[in-house]
Amino acid sequence: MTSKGLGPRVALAWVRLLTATAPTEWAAERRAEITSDVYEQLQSAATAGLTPRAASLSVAGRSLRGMPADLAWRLHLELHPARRRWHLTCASTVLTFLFIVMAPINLLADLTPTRFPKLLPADAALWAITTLLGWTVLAVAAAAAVYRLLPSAGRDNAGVLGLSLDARLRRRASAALSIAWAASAVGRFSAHPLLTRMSDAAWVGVGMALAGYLLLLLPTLLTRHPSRRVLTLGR
Amino acid sequence: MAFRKAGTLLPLEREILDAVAGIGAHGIHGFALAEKLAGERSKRSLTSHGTLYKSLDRLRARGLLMAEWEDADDAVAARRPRRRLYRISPDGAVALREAQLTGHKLWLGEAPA
Repeated sequence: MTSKGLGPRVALAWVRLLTATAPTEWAAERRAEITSDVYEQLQSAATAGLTPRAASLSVAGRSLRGMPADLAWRLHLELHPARRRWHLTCASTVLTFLFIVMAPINLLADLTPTRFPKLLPADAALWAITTLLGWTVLAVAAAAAVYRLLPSAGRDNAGVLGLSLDARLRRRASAALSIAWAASAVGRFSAHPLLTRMSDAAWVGVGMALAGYLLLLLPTLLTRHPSRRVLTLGR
Repeated sequence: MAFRKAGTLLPLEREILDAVAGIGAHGIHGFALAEKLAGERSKRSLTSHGTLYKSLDRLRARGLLMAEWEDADDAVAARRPRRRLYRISPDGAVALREAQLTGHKLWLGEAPA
């Protein structure tokens, strides 16, 4: 099979990214199916006399046009009942994902009034989104904490128990970072003194969690063994 | 966002079932299905990866389609990646027949006419 050309590489890279933290079986099936589809399309294009560039663009177009549906599929996977229970037992994946979405929006909201004056009317929307995401993180963390108290929770954490100690510690550090950032965001503009104090304290927590995560990550980055050079990002 | 009444088929899902039913027991793989759909719609653009495979997954989950990976030896002999072949299930044939008889349309959040 030829994966030469930008189009096939885009399609295959996208499906790898899309399924990077998906359950293994589902990820393998989707990757294999897209690999087959790309191959068949290139073969069909060659038979039809299309130039390699035209075939490559067609493959890229199908991949790009399908990205919203791909994301919806991935979200549907994560909402599967078994997966939902897993997320409540091991909430770091969801928390880290929300942090990755929330942090850039938060930073953009910080930058908007001074560096991007034309976006000034947008800063209120950005802060609203940041606050909403922050409350979502805190709600997920609270739900996960409550779920852990249930007797059935122990059956769903087999996947985590199989991880190495440093991977599990990184999961906890990334979850802590997300929760601390969320707590600092939701209380930042609050008039309530308790929320303001929480926000200030949480900001200290952000620094500590980030430092902890980087310290845990350093041995992984420095090790020579390729299989250990993996950012779990809460997985 | 489109909403649907439970048990109804989206237009694309109906086209997929129709196309797969027309192939019979041999089965059809994803790209060949995309080509067939494009041909039947007289459109030049093929269904995107995300839209096609999400719909196929949904139909499989509802038991309307069956999917099976071809024999690995066949793929090796042909020097290509393994194909996943789709066939319509008995439930899928019933759903397709009902959709053809009743002419179900996409329910956009309102009661169907």
